[in-house]
Amino acid sequence: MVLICKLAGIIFVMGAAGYLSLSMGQNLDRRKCELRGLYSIFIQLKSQIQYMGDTLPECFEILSKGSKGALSDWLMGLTERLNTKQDMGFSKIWQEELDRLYQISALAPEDVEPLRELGDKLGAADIAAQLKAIDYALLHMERNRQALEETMEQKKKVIVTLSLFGGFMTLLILF
Amino acid sequence: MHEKKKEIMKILSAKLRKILENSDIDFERLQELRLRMNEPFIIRYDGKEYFVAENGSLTKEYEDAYEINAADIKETLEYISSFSLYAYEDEIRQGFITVQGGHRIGLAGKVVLEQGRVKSVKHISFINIRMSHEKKGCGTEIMPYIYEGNQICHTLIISPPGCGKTTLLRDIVRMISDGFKNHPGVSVGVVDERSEIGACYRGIPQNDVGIRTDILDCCPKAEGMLMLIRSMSPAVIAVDEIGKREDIDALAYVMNCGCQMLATVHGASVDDVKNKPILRKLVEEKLFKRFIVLSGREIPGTIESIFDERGSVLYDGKIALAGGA
Repeated sequence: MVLICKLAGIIFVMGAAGYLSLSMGQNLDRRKCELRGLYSIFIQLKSQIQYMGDTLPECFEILSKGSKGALSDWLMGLTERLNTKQDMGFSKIWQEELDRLYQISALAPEDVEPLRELGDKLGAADIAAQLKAIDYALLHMERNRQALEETMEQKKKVIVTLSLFGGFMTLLILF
Repeated sequence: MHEKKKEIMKILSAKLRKILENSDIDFERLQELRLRMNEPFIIRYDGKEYFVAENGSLTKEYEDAYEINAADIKETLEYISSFSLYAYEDEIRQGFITVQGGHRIGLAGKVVLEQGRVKSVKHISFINIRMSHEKKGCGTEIMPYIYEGNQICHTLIISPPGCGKTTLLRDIVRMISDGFKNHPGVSVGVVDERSEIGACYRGIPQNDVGIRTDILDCCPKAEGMLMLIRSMSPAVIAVDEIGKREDIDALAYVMNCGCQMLATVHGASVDDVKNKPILRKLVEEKLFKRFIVLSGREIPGTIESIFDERGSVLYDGKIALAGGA
C-alpha cells in the first residue's frame, strides 16, 4: 500500500514538473508568435496611415479582423474605446490598453514598453513623425523577436532540465 | 437625446460637455460655438452672442464665463478628428473639417508653409463649431422661375456672403433631383469644393440633396465639373461660389455639353457681377438664362429680384425664403 502511494506520488510530482516545463515552453512559443503578430500589425498600421488615410479607430478595427487571439481582442477593445469618445484622450487610452495587452497576452514587459511612446505620437497631424515613431517601435520589436528566437531553444532546454531536476529533488526530499 | 445635441456633445471635451449638459439651451437654436485658448467660452444662440459660465448659464458678463484651456482644445480636436488629425490633412489645409451631421468645424493656429503654399496648420488654438441648419423648402417660391416649360434654365444665384446662397442652391438641387410638382426628377451632379452643399461625412451627404444627386466632395470646381460630365452624365450640374477663370471655362464647356448649370457667385447685383473682369463674360455672353439676386436686407435669404438673360425683370420684390436662410 505504501509502495503504491509512493509510486502515485512519483507519478504526480514528475507529471506536474513535466506539465510545468511544457506550459512554460508553450508560453515562449506564444510570445514568439504574438511578437510576430504585433510586428505585422504595426507594419500594416504604417501603410494604412501612410496610404489609406484611415482614422485610428478604423485602422484598429480592420487590423483586429485580420489578427487572432489576444491581439485581436486587444485591437477590438481599443477600437471600441476610441469610438465611444468618452472623456479621455488618446494617450491615456493607449497606455491603459497596453496594460491590458500585457495582461491578456504572453508578451513580456520589454515587448510592450517600446509601444508606450506611440501614445503621444499616433493620431498627430504630422504623418512623417508618426511613421518614424512606428519604425522605432518596430525596430525594438524585431530586436526582441531575434533575441527570443536566438535564446528560445536554450531557454526551453533550461526549463525542461530545471523542471525535471526540481521534480527529482522534490522526490528525494519526500521519500 | 436630441440628434443634433448628440452630434455636438460627441465632439466636445468632457468639461465642455458637462457645461452644456447643465445649460438649458435648445440645440436647434444654437448657431455657433467658439473655443479660443485662454479665452471665454462663447456661443451664438438665436442670433445673439453669449458667454457660457461654468454652471452652464448664458451670460453677457465676460468675467463669469468659463475660460477655455489647452486640455479642452486638445481633447475636442481629438474627438473631432477621431483621434487622427493626419486623416484630415487636406481638410485642415483648407481650414475646416465637416463632422457627422454636416456641422462645420473651422480651425486656426500656426500655418505651416511649403514653397509658399499652406501645407498644414499646427498648434491649433481656435475652434469654431458651426451648426448645420438645413432649410428644406426655402427654394419652393423660386422654382417656377427656374423652369422654362420642362427645361431647366442655366441659373446663377448672386448674393453677398451670409445671405443664404448655398442654402438656396442646396434646396434647388434637392427639388430638381427629387422632381418638382409636374417636373420629373433628373440626375444632378454637385461639385462640392468646400463640403457646404452636401456636407459629406465619410462620403455620405449629411444634408438632403435629393435622390438623384451625385456629389464630388472636396473637389476643385473646374476639374470636378469635367469629371462629372465624363463619369456620371448628369442633366444638371451645381457648383457653389464660382470666381476663378478656370471655373468659367469649365462652366462654358459644361453648357456646350448640353448640361444645365446651377451656380452661385458673390455679388450684390447683376451689375456688380458685370464689373468683375473674370465674371463679366457670364452676363455679357448670356451664358446664364436666370439671375437670382439675394440680399440680407430684412432677413438673410431675401430674394431681391430675378432676371432673364436679356435683363428683363421676372420678379421684383422681396420673398423671404421659407424658414429663413
